[in-house]
Amino acid sequence: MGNYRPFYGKETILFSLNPKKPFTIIYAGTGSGKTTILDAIAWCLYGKEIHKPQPLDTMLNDDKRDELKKNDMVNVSVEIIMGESETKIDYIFTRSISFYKNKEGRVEVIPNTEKFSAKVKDARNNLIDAAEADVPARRVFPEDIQHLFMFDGEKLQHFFEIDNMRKTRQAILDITNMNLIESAIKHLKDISKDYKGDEEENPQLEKLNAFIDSVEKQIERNIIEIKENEDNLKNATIKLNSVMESLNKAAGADKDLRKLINEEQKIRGLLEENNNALETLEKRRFDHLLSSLPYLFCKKQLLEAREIIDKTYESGEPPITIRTEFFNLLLNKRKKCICGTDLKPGSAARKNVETYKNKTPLSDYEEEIRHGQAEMLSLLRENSKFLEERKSSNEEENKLKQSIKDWNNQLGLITKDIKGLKKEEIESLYSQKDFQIGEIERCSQRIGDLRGEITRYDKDKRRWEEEKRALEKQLIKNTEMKEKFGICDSGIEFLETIREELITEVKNEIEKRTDDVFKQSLIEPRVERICITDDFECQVLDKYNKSIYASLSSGQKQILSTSFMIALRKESGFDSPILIDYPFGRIDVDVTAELINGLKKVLEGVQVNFFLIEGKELTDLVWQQMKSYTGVLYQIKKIKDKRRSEVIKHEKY
Amino acid sequence: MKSTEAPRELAIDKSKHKFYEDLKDGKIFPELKGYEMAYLFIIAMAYGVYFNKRIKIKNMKRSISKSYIDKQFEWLIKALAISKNGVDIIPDKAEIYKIAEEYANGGIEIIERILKDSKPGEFESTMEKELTKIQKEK
Repeated sequence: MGNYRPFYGKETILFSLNPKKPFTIIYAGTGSGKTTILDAIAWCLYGKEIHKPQPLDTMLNDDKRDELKKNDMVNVSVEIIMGESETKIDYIFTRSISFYKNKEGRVEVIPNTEKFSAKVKDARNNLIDAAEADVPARRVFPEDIQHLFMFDGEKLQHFFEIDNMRKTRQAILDITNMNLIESAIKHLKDISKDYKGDEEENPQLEKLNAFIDSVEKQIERNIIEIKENEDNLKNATIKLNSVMESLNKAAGADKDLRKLINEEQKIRGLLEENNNALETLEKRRFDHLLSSLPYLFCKKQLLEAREIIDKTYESGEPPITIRTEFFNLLLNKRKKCICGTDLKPGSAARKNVETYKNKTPLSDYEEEIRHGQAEMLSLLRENSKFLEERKSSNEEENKLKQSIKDWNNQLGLITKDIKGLKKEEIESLYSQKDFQIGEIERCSQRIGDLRGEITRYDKDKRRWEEEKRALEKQLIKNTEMKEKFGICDSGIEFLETIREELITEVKNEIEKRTDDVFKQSLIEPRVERICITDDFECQVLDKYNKSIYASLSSGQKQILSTSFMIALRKESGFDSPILIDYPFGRIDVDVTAELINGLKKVLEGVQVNFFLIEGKELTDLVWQQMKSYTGVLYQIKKIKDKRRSEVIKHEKY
Repeated sequence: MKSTEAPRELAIDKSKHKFYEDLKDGKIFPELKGYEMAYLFIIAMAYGVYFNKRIKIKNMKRSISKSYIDKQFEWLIKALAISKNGVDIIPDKAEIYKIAEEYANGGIEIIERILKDSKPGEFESTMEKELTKIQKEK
């Protein structure tokens, strides 16, 4: 590069030619001139800057511009040398333009000084000037498919998210040079019009014209609606990108937040469990208290009653009325026993009965009283356990209360942390993200439906056009003209068949290659196959033939797009180097590693030149992953207090 | 000593009937919600006994079915009567239950007063304190 934009004087970059270390890394801070190198290549080959187009009169380096004296002239140039090695050169492309400082001190482009030249090998392997430089340039790096070799990693990530079908179809048309066939068909149709003559009015022809007209109008309406949806899609994508940027900024906090929210939920669950357990225990404790209360409050009376009963039995004291009445009746009224024995005073029998009278148990109530005695004893024993039970339930209660206190403390800390992480803000970003994704899906779906309709309308249109052409042919009266029309018609038919077959073949090949490359680069068990539908939609299907594209990570989507690009590149047959700008900027660190590994596998031996942002993209981890594959490492560095950047080659790393 | 039948329904003072009902419904003390009137009667009786408050019922309302009184509590009632009047009271069932009713009448007044003045949790804690004290007594 000579005086090209930030590069003062001559700066040379030699990309890696080592097939075992095919990576070249060019890293730079933002605005140092990293992407400008891609534009230097595009300008040299195609005469236009593609990535960051700027006015032509600003192409001269600012420092060089300031150095110019009045009427001084200087060239801006970019030269691309291609070959196996520094000595085995195949092509040299050079583009230059001249600037001069006029009398007023203004630096201007000298009109008509832009030159493009190419050197190519002749039959004896000598480099000679190419008659038309554009021809070898197109051969080496066709402009139509330059996006397959030079791409922006960030855009690649969303390649299939926005207008999937159009891009897939366009890419396939580009590499099959379908535009040439299309123009040939159009050309033949134009020619055949000349052979029709002034045919008579024909109702059938009018009907076909009406059909074609109506379907064309419908296609136009669909195109308008597609355009509207594309605008909405674009807006939603811009908004999504902005939301994603905010989310990425909060990425660290977000991860912590999710962890904290999970922990918070877990603790809330445990607290609820503990609170329920405490509530149950408290109820149980109250019931226990209440059930013990009557016996304990009446403990004194129970003991007294027992003592009274015991004393009654121990003393043999005759209790209660019935017993007294019975013996009084026997001894005082009947004076005879029921067996007839005389109970006269002083008799032995009377003495015996009197002894029994004194020793008789509590007769009818004995059972009741003895039962009561046992009951009272049992009640007193039962309630003697009260304290032990209380102690054990107290311990249980304290343990639960302590546990609740601890969890509450922890919950307080977590809640504080969550508040610090602006939970609401992040949640709002997530809901915005979901909304925009929904919008993108809705628009994409509608665009897909409309395109599907257009495909069907197109088929109808073609069918009617064929009918119309056949009818037109019949209506031509002049034999010679009829014959010429027929030749054109056969040509159109032939070319249309070739077009369909070629597209189908290339589509199938690309589908297979994308599938191979994607699976080689990535282990994603859910992916069964990659499919390009008849409507040219690239889909990722699981084993149930369900599309899982939406659930792929950003890195996986980038790998899919890269796989597609690589498949297209292989299919196109152009074995050019690949230049990827900003490949890891927006993807997670772990996905970056996955992407690098994938690229290593699928691009084995292919020269790949990475343009990375210093620090942000070229992290220690990325460098460790890429180091063994890197043949050349360059740094683009802004020179302090100057308006230029220098290219520094790091020999040792 | 006369022999009498136990009443089919135990008596409380008419003026205390609503308080019993409110206790049962948990209106005054939620933890007591769902307890039967018969059980509340026993609790009241125990309070009356413990705090030695026996009050004759002026306006009798027989509203507590004796069949709802647990067998164990029947013996508590009898033990109370024996402790007051000796074992000879056993045949006089009417008198036995009359003693219980009068103590319950005294006890329910105490409970009413405690619940009226106590702060949350105080009723249980006081109850537990007293029970622990009793348990520790030899």
